[in-house]
Amino acid sequence: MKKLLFILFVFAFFGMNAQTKFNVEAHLGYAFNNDLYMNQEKISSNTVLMTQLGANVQIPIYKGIYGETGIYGKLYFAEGEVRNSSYNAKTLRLDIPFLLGYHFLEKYRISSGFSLSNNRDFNELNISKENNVRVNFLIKGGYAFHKKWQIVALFQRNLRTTPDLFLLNEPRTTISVGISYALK
Amino acid sequence: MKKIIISFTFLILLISCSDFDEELKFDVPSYKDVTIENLETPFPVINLIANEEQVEKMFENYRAEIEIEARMDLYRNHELQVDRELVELEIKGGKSATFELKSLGIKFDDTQDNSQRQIINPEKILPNHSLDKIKSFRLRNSGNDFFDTMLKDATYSELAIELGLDFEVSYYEPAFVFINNEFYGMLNIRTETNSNGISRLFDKKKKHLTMVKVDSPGVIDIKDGDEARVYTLMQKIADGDVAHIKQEIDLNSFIDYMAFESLITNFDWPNNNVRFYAIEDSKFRFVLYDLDYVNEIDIANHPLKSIRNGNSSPIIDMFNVLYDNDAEFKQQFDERLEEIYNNPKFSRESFSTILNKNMEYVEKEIPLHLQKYKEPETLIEWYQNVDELRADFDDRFGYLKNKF
Repeated sequence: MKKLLFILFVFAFFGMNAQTKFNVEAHLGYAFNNDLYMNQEKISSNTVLMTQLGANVQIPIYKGIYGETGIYGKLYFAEGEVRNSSYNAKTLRLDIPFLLGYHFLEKYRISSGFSLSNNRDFNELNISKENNVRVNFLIKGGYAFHKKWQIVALFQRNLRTTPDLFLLNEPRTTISVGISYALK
Repeated sequence: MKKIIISFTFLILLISCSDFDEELKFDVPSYKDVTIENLETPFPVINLIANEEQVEKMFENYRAEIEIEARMDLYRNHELQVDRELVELEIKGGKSATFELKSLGIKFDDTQDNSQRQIINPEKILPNHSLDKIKSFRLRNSGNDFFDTMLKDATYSELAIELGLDFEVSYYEPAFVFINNEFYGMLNIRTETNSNGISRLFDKKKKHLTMVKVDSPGVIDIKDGDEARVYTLMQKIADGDVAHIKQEIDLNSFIDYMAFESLITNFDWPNNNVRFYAIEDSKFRFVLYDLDYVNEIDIANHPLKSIRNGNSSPIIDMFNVLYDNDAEFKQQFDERLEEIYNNPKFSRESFSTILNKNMEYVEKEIPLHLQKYKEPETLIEWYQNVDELRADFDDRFGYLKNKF
């Protein structure tokens, strides 16, 4: 059912017809935690790479101000050690951002807002459990070096109190850079 | 076309699964290949040998209280300590009896000399208790903690032992269990808190005990002994007869019991999981057990609110009669509550020390068990659950700080 809703959302999103900008984006970044402990031991080697792929729509609101939303898939590649265990994790998350931004000096834009993403795999979402959803604070900047192409940078920080277990494979903070292509 | 490609990419991403691969720094054999002979472990290893059809029937009808005859072997470091001893085997537990790994009650045909045979060998016991003789014990799946740590009840019981509180407890040692030579899982050997278990702690016969149990929703169940005495006590509680209650109850035991359970805020208590007993004509004393729901729910409550939680139970009524009508009891209880809280052994450090000790003893053994039951699926997840158990105590301790 969740997958069906998602499919409908994707097609509705790309079927929109308005005076808006549509972009696709790809990011590569590094995710990290400040001082992650488990069983009173600091996790020493917790390396997490992140790729993010998705699309967004920018809706002009007033002069240079715009609203932005979209849909992204985020893939985290993590490895590390905890006591007697070493792990290697691949974690896929769906992310829906809501941003308010500003265009300035023609080529630049900056925006801030939040995003919602699943904190558990879709087949493990359970309403009776906590920590199903993450809320992330976002800061995003962009520079248009071509009519259709932009370099973008994104800062994401989990705002919820998430148990450390979830932070092993998807850390609290992510910094990424990427490229955006305007479809329309 | 672009839109279709992007939508398709999203769908592929969504359908592809996340995965988590764990590699342990030590070797763990497959649970399917493990045998009593090749299993290297510091734990005692128990093998229960019984008629396979009867075992199957017992597991299929786990609510039917079916007892079957079995033979039990127990090994320590591959040395046979108990050899084909005749036992009665029964599935135990309430909700936890629905779990794949079920708790088992073991009752020996003959009382066993535990000092010789080392059936259970806990690190520390209370000075007034003896484990020299064992008539029965429980192989416990850790109840509602089965999915989390397998350590919770035992760790809180050890905290009570460390504090030297004046009530009876269930002792603990983890074990590997086989049924008909097939690996069953890791279970906790626990001394029983029923008449058989408690009578042996004091080297008494079961027939000398009156044992009372309070089950949800606060229903009295007289297990053994002098029913008339129990009914009289219940009537006197209903009448608010302070003098009679004080004459019948070991007040130190009652105060310690109520104080400890309320300090660790047991959500599944006191309208459930209460046991008290008397040996012959002595006063009723209390037994601590089933601590799977402590420090999980309502952890910001004042201890008194944990007792007076809106449920009905003879124990709540008895406490209320004494606390509201007897100034001396009220003062004693309030002082003891604070005294236990301020005891350096009731601290984050002390709890953490006990938990770490139990965790370290189990951490290289539990992967074999997790491999079979996948609850939790990885050792890392188990580490995290242990951390949450520690954090729950820390949180409760922090809230209590504001109450005193």
